[in-house]
Amino acid sequence: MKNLYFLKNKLQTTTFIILAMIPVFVDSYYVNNISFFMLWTFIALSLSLIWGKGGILSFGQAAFFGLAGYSFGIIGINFADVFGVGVWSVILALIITGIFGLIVGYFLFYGGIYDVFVGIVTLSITLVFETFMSQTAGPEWTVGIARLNGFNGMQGMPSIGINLFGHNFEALDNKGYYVILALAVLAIYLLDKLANSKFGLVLSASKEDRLRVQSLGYNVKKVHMLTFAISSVLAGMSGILYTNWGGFITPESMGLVSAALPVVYCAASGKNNFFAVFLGTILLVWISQELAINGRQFALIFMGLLLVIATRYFPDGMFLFFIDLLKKITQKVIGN
Amino acid sequence: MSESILNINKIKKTFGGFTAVKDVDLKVNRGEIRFIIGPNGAGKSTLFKLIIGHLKPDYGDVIFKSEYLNKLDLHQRIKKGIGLKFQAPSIFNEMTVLENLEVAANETNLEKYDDFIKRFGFFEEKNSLAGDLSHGKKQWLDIALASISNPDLVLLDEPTAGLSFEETKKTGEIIKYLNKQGTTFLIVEHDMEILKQIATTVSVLHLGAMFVEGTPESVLKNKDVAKIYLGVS
Amino acid sequence: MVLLFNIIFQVTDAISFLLLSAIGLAVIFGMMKIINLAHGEFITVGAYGTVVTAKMGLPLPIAMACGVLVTVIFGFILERLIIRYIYGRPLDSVVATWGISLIVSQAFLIIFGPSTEGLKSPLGSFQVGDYSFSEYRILLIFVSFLILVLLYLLFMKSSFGTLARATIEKPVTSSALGVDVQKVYTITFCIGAGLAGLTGALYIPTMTAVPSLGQAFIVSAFVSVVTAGASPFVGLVPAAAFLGSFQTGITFFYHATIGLIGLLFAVIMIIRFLPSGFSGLIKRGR
Repeated sequence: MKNLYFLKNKLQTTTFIILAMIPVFVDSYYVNNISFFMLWTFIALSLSLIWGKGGILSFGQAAFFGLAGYSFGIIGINFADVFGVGVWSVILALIITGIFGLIVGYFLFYGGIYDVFVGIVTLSITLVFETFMSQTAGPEWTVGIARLNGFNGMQGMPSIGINLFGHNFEALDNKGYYVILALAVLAIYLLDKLANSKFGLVLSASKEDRLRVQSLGYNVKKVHMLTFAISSVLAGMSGILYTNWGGFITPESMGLVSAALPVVYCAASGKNNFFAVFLGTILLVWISQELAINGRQFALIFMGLLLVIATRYFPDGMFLFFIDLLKKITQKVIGN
Repeated sequence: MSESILNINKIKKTFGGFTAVKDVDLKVNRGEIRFIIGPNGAGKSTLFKLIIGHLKPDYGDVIFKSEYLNKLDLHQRIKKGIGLKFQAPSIFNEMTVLENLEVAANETNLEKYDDFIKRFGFFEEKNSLAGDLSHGKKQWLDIALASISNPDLVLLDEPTAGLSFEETKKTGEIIKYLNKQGTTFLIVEHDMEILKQIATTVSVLHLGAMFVEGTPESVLKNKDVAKIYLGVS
Repeated sequence: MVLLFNIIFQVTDAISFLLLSAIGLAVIFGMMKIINLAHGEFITVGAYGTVVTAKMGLPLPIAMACGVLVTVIFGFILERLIIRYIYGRPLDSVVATWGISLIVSQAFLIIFGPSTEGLKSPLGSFQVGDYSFSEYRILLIFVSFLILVLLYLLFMKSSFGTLARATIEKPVTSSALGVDVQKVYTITFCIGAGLAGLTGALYIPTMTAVPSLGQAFIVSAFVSVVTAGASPFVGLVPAAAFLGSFQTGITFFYHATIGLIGLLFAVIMIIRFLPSGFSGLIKRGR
């Protein structure tokens, strides 16, 4: 038990160091791409928290992704000339998303909605968002001076960054590589801490037997609502970084496929392990991009196959399986 | 000290046309080990669920330490100082014994509970998965979960279900020990051996109503009680 | 008067669409509790099966039967390879069937291309005032109710139906009584698949054959089955009636997109406030 943790920690630290050094050695074209792959890890982590640790499958992460992205854009466009907008638009967008996450969480868990119905309700919410935003094409659809722009999406928002002491720090170098990496490391660190805390223990127990946890004096609905809110903020982080990376956000980010992607990343990587999900997501987004070059169909078929194989043969996630395998092989080699 | 810790007043519960519990009064005093017995269908489980808040009564009150519990949810009632164990062992199989206890005690450092754990007999298995324990040890873990936070009143629903003769006796000893530390017990049971071993007072339910109450000796000698068990009402 | 006829037609057409979308899923999700996100793809298989065989020269009803047959075989293969390993794991069935749905829909795209020439609607149309109505769609309204009655008889009144329901509810007990539980599951799943294929076969003369045609049905299907509640064959008609009227009403006053949003909103409210669906309401009323 202890050995696995130590190994995991060494693996984690090594990976982060390698990732930090990549921009030094690698061409900026590739670095920009890796930034893109990394920004998706937050929404995958968000699902890992609520599904892997909490046992609740939500298809609503895409809704928070979109909500945060659009909020970031709307605030940024409307206050483009205000000092520090590139920072506090992010914070404000996350707060808005978190509040919405709390509200949805309250509606779900205090309303007694659990199991597969959470999936149906959250998917419905996501689709309502997408459907609604898709028909906001006309010029009357604006928030302040920001046009929602319907199906084509919103663009023209200022990027993440801040103008300090006359110097422009923008998360545009390498498309914000270090900002994203730093945030990811922070997120994984905080999530690990949460999972090992009293809260995390109660959450794990609730996954197994909600009634028993209630009979030990805990307000399980509150625990789930808070977890849901935290995961909504994480999903929103991906949305903001995505909007920043490409300079736009569209309703498609809240469509059926978008709602399913974090599920793919989590299920295939190993939803119970935050680091596995982090690495797995980067790999999977990369692979699907490579496949999409030959046609989006192939990328989606690959995703589908992953889902089926992962569920059928590797319920704990394929990534973890391979890490374990690697560990066993290296132990055998070192042992000799 | 015979101050009342739990007071059930005229509690009634019907399901459709069927009255499961009718006008039951129950008064449990501090320090008691109270047994609730009765033949199948007597309403014991329903009464249990009404006390903990799993079911809402048609009318009647549940009063704990002079406070009305009627409007409180399950977890809120527990926080007032109640420990509880359901009939089937509901421990967290995917977590270790220690983690199970950490959740119940709401603490991550359990050093001061070492004695407690030793008394229950799974000190060796501290770090094993709870799911790997034998059935008897699972029941004891479940009782431990109910009692580790030192509640005033512990409710047990058939704690000896599926236990062997020796295990049942050991369970009685554990309950007696905790009772000496100040915990009041309300136990729904079928097993007469453990009743004889530890009960201070016995309440007999029959067809949803309180039939008779008294010391274990008087109840066990009562011919009418024997009759209701044999189906001659 | 003409307006009234139009409204009645719109509502019953919407209701029958919901019913037919839901029948296959009512068996697989409603009865077997397997969340089948590949339901749309079953419909697509039935539709394409019909188109392909009709193009080979077979008369339409036979082509439709072939479409259903292909879907049953498809369902059988899926059950053997994947589904039987995820019984009792509802969240995993979501994930696995979503994967199947992705694979099949994209495979159709690759094999058949973005659109295939469809079939002509077999019957004509008739005029009432300014509006013209498809005779075929009116036929479908009757067919949908007929199928539902047959399903009700099959699962609620026949001996197979009783056996299936008992096995699904208590597989261990049934097994102890000598029932081949796996066989019952497989047959029931194939019936569900076949019904979905039938939906595709019936509707394809009114649609273009695109690989994503199943998507048009899946939201309606889930919404109807969830609203129907625990006893799908009891609750499905009132559920479809309620949702169909609600959706048509909203579409009438606004437009189709808002109608869809209204539908999704309705299902959210029903899950929250009427968790046992319409069949729960009916049972309570008894």
